[in-house]
Amino acid sequence: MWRKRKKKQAPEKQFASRFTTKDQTISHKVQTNLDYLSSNYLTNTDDFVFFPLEEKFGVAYIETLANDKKVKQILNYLRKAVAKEETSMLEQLPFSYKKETSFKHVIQALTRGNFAVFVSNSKEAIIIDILDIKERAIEEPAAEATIKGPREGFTESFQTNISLIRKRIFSHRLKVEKKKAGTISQTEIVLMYLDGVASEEIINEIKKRLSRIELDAVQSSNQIQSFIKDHSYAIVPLVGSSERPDKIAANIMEGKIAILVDGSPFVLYGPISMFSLLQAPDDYYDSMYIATLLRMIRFAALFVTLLLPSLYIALTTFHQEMIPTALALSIAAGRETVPFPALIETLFMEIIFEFLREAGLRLPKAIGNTISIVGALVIGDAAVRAGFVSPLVIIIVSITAISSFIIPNYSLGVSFRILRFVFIFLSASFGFFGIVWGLLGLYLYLSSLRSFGYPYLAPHAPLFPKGLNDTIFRFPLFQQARYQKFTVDQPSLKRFPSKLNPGKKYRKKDD
Amino acid sequence: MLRITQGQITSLIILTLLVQIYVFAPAVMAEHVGQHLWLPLLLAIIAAVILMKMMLWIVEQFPGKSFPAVLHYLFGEFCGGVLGISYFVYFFVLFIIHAQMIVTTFKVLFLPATPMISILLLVLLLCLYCSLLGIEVLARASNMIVILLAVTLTFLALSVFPEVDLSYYQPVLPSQAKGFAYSTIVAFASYGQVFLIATLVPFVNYKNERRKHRKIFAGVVFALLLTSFIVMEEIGVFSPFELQRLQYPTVELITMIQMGEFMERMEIFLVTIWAGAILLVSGIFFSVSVKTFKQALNRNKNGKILDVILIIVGFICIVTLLPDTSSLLLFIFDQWVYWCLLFQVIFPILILITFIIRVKVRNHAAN
Repeated sequence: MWRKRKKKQAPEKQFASRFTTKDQTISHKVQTNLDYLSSNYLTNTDDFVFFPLEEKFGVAYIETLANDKKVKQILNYLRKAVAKEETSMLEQLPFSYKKETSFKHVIQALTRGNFAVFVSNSKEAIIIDILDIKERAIEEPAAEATIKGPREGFTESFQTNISLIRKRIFSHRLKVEKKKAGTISQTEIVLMYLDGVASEEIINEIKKRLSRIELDAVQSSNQIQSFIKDHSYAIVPLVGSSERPDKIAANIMEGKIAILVDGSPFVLYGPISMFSLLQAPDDYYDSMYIATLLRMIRFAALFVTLLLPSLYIALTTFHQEMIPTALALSIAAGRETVPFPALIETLFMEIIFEFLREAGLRLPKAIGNTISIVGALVIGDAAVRAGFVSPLVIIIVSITAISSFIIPNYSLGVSFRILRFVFIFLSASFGFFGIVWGLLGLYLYLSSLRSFGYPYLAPHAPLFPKGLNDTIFRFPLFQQARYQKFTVDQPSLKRFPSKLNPGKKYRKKDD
Repeated sequence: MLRITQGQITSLIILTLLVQIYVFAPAVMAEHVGQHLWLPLLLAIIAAVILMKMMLWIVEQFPGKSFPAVLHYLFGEFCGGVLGISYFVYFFVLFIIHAQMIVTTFKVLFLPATPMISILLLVLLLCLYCSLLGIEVLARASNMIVILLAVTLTFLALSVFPEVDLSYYQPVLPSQAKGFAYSTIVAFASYGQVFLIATLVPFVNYKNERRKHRKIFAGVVFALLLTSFIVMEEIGVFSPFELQRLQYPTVELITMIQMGEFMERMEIFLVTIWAGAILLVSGIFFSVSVKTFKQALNRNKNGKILDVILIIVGFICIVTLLPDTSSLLLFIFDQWVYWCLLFQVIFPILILITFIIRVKVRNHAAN
């Protein structure tokens, strides 16, 4: 009975996104149409411009979205038509246009930067595209800089972004599928993939997930990400994101799918594995030896970011006998004046460092430098002199911080920063046992994750030996003819005829 | 339902075989057979390989059917159910043994001041998590862990090899048979865990996966030989008499590794890798026991309550029955090694005979 009552009392849920636009057919009177627009849809909209032209035409547009030159051209053309009294001129408009019969579509067109022309004695409105949105120039992405790679980065315009990808893949197989998301914002979302290579199953799955999105407005690609990833509460990124067209084009060529969102310079791509997040574009612009070395460094940095503070705590709190004597004496001397346990001093320094990092990000560049000086001198040196922390903790926190900057993917770096605190507490409570417990738990957790169905730790867990040639080690490119398992439709498909050593043939000729 | 590959099954089996025998058994076996440890180990290896082949052959005759379902088919609903439940008990006890083994090892060696219950809770939580993730995820994860552990054990075996004194193995051949039966049972209690394969094979995607018996065989033999080699090395390094007095001989063996003057003691690092592996093995045994229980009772729902209840039961069993190292050792070497004969010898033979009578003979008669 109570349940029934509660159900009755529950107010009906309302969403701004479900506001309906009242529809009305267009009148044959110009002034009536303009009045209807201004009094029903665009009240209190000061940038809405509307006026009649000699009672023959009525024009309407939003001036902050309009291209002034185009507006002038259209108005001149319409004035000529009025002067010549030839309405037939409207049928030969020198602009691309379409016709609408309902106010619902006219208002949608106006808010998307179109020019509406109402014609006397006609129940149709002519809609001309005059959209002009200011966009920034193509610049090098700040967060994904390379040494030898191209300097282009995506912008906020999805059309520019599509062209940046298209100019790298001149093929009819590159498919571009558009759809809109956000019931109020009507944001364009674009799906790009290589037909015949990308898995049909994954494409359909992504389309299905995109169609399920119910949002009032899509502001960034990250919003989309949270709706389409396999595990909603995953702490690590399950969808790739990049500002680099070369990276996205390369991923599309590997059979992955890119998702572009209008207004966001970050293009999503998937499926991904965790190892792909540790790769940087420069790995492919340099020799395999350098690439392998750099990847090993990044992999080591990942572990250092996660475990160094906890290892320090475990060794100094539980397993002192494992520290070599000379080092143990040095650590003991450093900690002599410190009144806190290793956990507190490490936590103190870690939290202070996180403060500094956040402050450095938010502040203007000029003051950001001051913050780093304050951090290094005041917090570091003064804290040691005051006996708050030992010098070794400063070194450990600094190395951890440097390591965290080595991880190429920002989201992955942040995830491991959060996990680091979990490991600090585990090691402070259970020493090495806590660390190994946490590591195994994390490993199992990561093994259970999937990115659009692709195992997150592949090709290591599950182990695909043939896929190992582009994870921690980077084999020569001519040996990487195979596509990643599961990401393409046909498992036997190859990118090119692979050769063990293409240079050998020419050497024989020389001999 | 997600499926696992033959390679992943091999990893799971190798992992279970790589973690146990060298922990407590060498001291007990050395006490009974001295330097002639190789003979019980050899017998146990042969028995384990036969058991593996036999169970693999039987279970593969029923593609897609779970092990308890096979038991139901062979022995009927009631007897099959009882046998299924008894194998649940077998895997559950193995889970308890492995869980308590890691708890006591860390408690005694590295965390003397930490309450045992807190370490135990941590282990049980991870086992519960393993069970909730499912055997497919454990199979995926086992690949890298088994490589890491195999490399660690090989490193250990090779590092301490120069310390081996061959005179400790003299005389090679035994003059009397006393203690051999018991030592073989002790070794087989560990190696016979290869029986796990019977419950894992049904998870294989039998429609797409080709049979890879040779790989499984090679993997199992490698695991058995590697662990036997370490146990044998302990005789050569410590002598049979000294070995009898060591509670954690393999940890003592690790302390023999010297990496220059700076790295004086590195046992914690190697024990930590072993800990990761045995934690996963505990999780595997718990997951398999829960699955076996559900399948034996024909409860195929993905409920999580049973997992939680069984973890609580496990916690109570460990705290009341096996609270410390001595009670664990007493249980393993005075009771469990004999119970293992039931699960690893008598029941499998019974299954084989029933299978031959019910399936082969009947099919032959029908034709």
